[in-house]
Amino acid sequence: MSEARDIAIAGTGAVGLAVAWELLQRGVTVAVIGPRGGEHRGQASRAAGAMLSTFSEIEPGHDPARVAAETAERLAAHDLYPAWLDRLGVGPARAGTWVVAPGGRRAWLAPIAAAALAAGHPAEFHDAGEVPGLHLPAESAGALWLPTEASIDSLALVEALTDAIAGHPGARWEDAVVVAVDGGIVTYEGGGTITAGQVVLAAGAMTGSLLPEGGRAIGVPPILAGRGVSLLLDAPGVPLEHVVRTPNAAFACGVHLVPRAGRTLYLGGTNRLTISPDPQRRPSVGELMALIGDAVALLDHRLATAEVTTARVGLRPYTIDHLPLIGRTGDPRVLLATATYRCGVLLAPRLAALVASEIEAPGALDAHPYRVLRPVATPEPEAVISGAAADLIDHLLQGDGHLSAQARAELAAFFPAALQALLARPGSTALRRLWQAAPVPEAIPSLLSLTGRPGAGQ
Amino acid sequence: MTATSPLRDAVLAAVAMSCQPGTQGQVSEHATLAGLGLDSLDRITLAVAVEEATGLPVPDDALPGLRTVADLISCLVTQEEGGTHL
Repeated sequence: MSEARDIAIAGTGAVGLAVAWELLQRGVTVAVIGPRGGEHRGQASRAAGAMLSTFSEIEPGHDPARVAAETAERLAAHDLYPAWLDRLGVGPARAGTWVVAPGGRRAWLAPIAAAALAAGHPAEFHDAGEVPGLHLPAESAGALWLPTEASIDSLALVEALTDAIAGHPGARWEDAVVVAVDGGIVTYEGGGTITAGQVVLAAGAMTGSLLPEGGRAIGVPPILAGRGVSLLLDAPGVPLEHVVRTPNAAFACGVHLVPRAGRTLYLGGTNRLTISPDPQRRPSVGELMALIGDAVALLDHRLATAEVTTARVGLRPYTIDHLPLIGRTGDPRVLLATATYRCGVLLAPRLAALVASEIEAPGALDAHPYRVLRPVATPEPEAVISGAAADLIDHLLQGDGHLSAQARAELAAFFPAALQALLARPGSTALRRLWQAAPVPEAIPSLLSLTGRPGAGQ
Repeated sequence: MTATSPLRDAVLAAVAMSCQPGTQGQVSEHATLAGLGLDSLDRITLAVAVEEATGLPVPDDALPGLRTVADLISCLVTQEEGGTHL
């Protein structure tokens, strides 16, 4: 097949499809390579709750520069969304998000409210008992109502994008898994190739594994994966009209319920770092226990009676500085649109416009904070470890566990010292390897888990 | 694939060391890493064990592409033939 296309897009999640559709609307011909139907195991978009979180992803400890950069891009996406959904023929997003604070965590609501108010968006504090449709536990510390934070059905979105692209005369769709991208050549399963002037690689957590040397030679920073498990529930006993979520905590996205069509509720999501993602691996018992345990303990005990209809795994791609990777790599024929972590669905129309602008005018993203060839700051390991102690304790307690204040303080002091000693031990090669690959807070539970594994150097 | 016997034996021993005791009896070239119960964390300990036993690197970006024990041996043979033996 030698049909010429201007741009090849490798990857069929929300971001890749959004880029393809944006380019088609600008008169550029595209070849999309990636599975069109099937299970899409491991794909973050289809496993996503698709909360369009402009503010509620912000955590108290986040660097203000990171918050400013991310909020600006999320607001830009928020502004694009209504017209984008309208052009796609998808119904409007469902407006309104409740952020509920578990006991003792009311302070986590403050930076979220501050960011919303600073951007001119409403943010109202309420008592926990005022969240409609929900029986929050008595110890809940309060709720924040964000009427402009919306949600959509991510499956409906990717299906609408798929239909819009597949029906466009400027598009060709190669329904096969991409196995390699090198320069302007995309190789897919079965040995076929597509050559284009430029390739946009939007393969999420698998991006590095598709490039020679993981992309290091063309300046692609390491891309980590946050493996997440989510469920669809048939939950007639919990009638929600809006998203309900806890703030992010303990290395996870807050536990969240997103109303979908009928009486279906989306429940998400776990978050476990992996540096060797396996999209075929199904949800584990431990992941399901953590997800369901948190939801029942922190949001509504009546969820225990809901029926589980679907379980999905998504691999959220992210970088060590937690900012996306958008635009040209060191090879001018290869562009990236990935590393969107928990915000790919929200950012999709914005990133599509940014990538299209770079293709139309090379250099357009040279000063953008998400550009691929930026210096990626490596976090200070000691600061990450000491800052993660409290989160680790919450992670281990899972939802409604309790420790005395003294035990908590002792453990919070003991843990960083113990982990530093463990990492320095001669036999801890595997631990050091993981920590060097991913010096981020999300690695802490993995270090804990790895310590007890066979062959980990005990 | 032209795995020399010492390399193959070293890899099989490293795999056996990295997997759960209950699956050690199933270790062979044809076994899948997932079938042996090796998740992403176990693959790190496996990579380290293989590197220590063979002197050949198993880079992080090679890990997601390794489906079977034979894939791992192939990855090492390629490097050995390419002269990257430490």
